[in-house]
Amino acid sequence: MKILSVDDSAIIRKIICGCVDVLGYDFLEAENGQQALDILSDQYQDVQLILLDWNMPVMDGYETLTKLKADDRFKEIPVMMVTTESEKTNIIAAMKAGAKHYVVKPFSQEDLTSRIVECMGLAV
Amino acid sequence: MTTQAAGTIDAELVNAFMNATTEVLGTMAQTEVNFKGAKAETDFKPTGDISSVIGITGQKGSGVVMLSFPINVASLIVSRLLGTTEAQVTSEDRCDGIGELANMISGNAKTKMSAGDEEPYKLSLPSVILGTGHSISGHPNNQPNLIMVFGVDEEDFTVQLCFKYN
Repeated sequence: MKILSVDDSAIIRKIICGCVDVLGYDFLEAENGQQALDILSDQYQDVQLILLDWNMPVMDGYETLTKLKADDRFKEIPVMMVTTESEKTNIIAAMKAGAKHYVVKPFSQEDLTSRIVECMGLAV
Repeated sequence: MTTQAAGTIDAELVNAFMNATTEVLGTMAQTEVNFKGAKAETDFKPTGDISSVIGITGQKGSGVVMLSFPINVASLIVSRLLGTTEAQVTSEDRCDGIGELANMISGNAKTKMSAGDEEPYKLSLPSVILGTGHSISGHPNNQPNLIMVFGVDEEDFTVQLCFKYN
């Protein structure tokens, strides 16, 4: 089973990869929303969780989220926003659009791992 | 509404970036940084070998934030972000890490600055400039420019703010 990280920062994707490794999942990565949709078209049946940044070139996180939730193939995959956008209006907009969890950067690897466990309903 | 004196940057903005820098490096890189002081400058010049620049726009005005690091400090911080050794940090890691730090610090600061504003501040995507003695062009001269100096393990890096009030 796989977890997909969508973030234009390679460093953030590497940090998230470390969290995913600890949990024993396979890691997929995309630099923007469009790349994420392309990856999901082939592999959506194996993806258990999507971690989604907000500010990205090509296709931002909010647009990606709305596209994911409008597509029958992807809409049941839980989405966790992982972003520097911490204004209440953004958090509400993301939750209304179907995000399950919202994590504001900065985060520690321990905290993010815990949030992934919580989001996926895994036993600790 | 408050009026900002020409050539100054208000304390709210300075405190927001000072606290954001400490918080982001503490949380993401488990690195304690010490605020060593601030000084006003007329030139917007990088102080280190690698710099990341990000634009910020809001109701009160707009400006530019620049983080500037000596290469060894950049490697140290990025190694801590990744949980690796400094020797394992690649040039790509350094550039990407310093860009993401500018994004996270500015994002954290803008939340503090936007409290009570109808429209939150907006950020551009970060740009990274690399090379000893590099410079930045296109900066609006004669705008308030503040350099904040932070210490990490006996070394320094800077966070510069150039902000033009509406």
